Amino acid sequence: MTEVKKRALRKYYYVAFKQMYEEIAEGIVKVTNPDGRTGVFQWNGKYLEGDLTQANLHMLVWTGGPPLPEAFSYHWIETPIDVNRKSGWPAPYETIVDYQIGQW
Amino acid sequence: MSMVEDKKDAKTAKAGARRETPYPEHLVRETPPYRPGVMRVPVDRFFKQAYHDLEVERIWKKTWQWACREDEIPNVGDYVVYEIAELSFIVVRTAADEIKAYWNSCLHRGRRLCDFNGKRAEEFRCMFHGWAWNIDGTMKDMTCGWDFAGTRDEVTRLPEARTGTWGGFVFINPDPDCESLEDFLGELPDHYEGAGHDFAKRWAQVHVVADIACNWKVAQEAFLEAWHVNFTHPQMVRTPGDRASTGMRWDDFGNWMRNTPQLPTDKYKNPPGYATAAETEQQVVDQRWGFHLNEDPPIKVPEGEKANEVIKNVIREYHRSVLGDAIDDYHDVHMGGGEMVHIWPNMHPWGGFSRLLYRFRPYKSDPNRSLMDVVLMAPWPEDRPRPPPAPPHVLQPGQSIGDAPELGQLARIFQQDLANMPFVQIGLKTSRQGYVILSDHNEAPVRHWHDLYNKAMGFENGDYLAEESNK
Ligand code: FES
Ligand SMILES: [Fe+2]
Repeated sequence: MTEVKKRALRKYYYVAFKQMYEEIAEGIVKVTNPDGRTGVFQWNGKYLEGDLTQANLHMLVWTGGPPLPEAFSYHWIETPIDVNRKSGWPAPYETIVDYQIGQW
Repeated sequence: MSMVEDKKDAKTAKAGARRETPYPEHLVRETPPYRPGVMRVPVDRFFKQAYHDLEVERIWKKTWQWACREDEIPNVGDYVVYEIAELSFIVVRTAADEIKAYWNSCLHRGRRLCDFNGKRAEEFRCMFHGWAWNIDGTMKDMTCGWDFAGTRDEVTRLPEARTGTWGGFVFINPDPDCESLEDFLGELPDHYEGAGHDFAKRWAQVHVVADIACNWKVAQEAFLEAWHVNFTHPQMVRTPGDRASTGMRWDDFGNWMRNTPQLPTDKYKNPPGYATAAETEQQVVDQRWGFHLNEDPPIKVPEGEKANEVIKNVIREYHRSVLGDAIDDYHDVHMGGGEMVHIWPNMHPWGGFSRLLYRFRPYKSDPNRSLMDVVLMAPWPEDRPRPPPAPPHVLQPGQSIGDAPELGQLARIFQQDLANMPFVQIGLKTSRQGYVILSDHNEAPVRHWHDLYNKAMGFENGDYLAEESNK
């Protein structure tokens, strides 16, 4: 298992099933059931270990799927805009969305 | 119209009063519930070559379809190569106010005339033997024309597809006898421009194209209904105690269908929503921005307040930073989005400030592979020069949607949809049952889409291409 560095490991509560989903390494998620049983899964749904052998695939994706870089954690309705720049993006984003650069 | 009244209220009162104002007229406009009943659809259409081939003839050669944006081709001679299945068209600006589309095929021996999008073309010259046409489609240079006795009249003009524009989108229809784009769209423009959302003024800030291992209809159907949200996007919880919060109204406008939130003024009562209710208001905020429990959420719901109010305020203030106080002309109902529209056969422009725009296309001749365009149509102030539209960021097979972080939290949500689509494709192929079942209410738009499909394909009296046992 590869160690995840430089960002907080994600942890989400699955309201409908009252389970806790915790990212414990890159792409690896530990699930805790309300009855105390736990299981470890790959983010694509594959069971790895523990007495809890089944989990919700989409909570695994949400918790352990590809993470967003910090700067891109916005909600899409609030995608950063700078109306004073030719690119339309705030300056720090220009080097990141550089596939658009020829257009500016 | 109601927006005028909204504006008046906004001047005299603050956000609280806005809720008392009438809903926008286009949202109040209801149609009767869609033809009732469940629908069984044979699985064959999702993976068999015969359907793909017939779709090319009966849909892609016969239907109005969004090809590009007008501002992708701002200058005379600018062109886009629009490809759908294995058809290819050159969409070119021939004058400041004229856009034409040509079948992208040389009239000599058929080489594709243009391989890439281009700027300021003066001619379209074939790279095989050098025949060339002017950008207005007239013959310019028939190299060794003396050797083609009696054929000049046949090659004097490039065959055209019809073109039309709405909201800054360029549509084409390869069928010369088709109805006009205006007739095809019906009252749709009024639902956008009439409600203060003119796409022609928006900026295509992000454009991602995902290459997906499933049929284009499978991909599209993952975005035609919102019911799957409850299970495929289980983090999306709604206001505590309000299980009706995602109640759906589907309005059928012929070639397009719309989903809006249910309004208190609705004449036709729809079933209640199905969403998972959150346990706390904060959970509603957390899920929207993907905040998790190992971090201190940057946005907190103050004691005694509602998450939805906090969210609407963030959206309103964000838009104030882009559009100024013009944002106060808009009703709260435009803030959260959730107004979903699909236009036959493959275009999904969302309403309000949702800014989402999808398109689904078959990949070349492969019924098991498709392209999904995701565009974020950002608002932009009218008094500033609009940046050029984002060029497509094409994800290669094997890349995940996580490789397109410019989508923000949407990338993570799509990752969940993508965790279904290829497996729907596989499951359909191995289906012993041989058909899928579409529900009466929540899947009404999928039924609506298949009704249009059956009509276009000539399946009104049954899907004659399907295995007998699947019908
Ligand atoms: S195929 Fe185009 S000039 Fe010969
Ligand atoms: Fe989805």
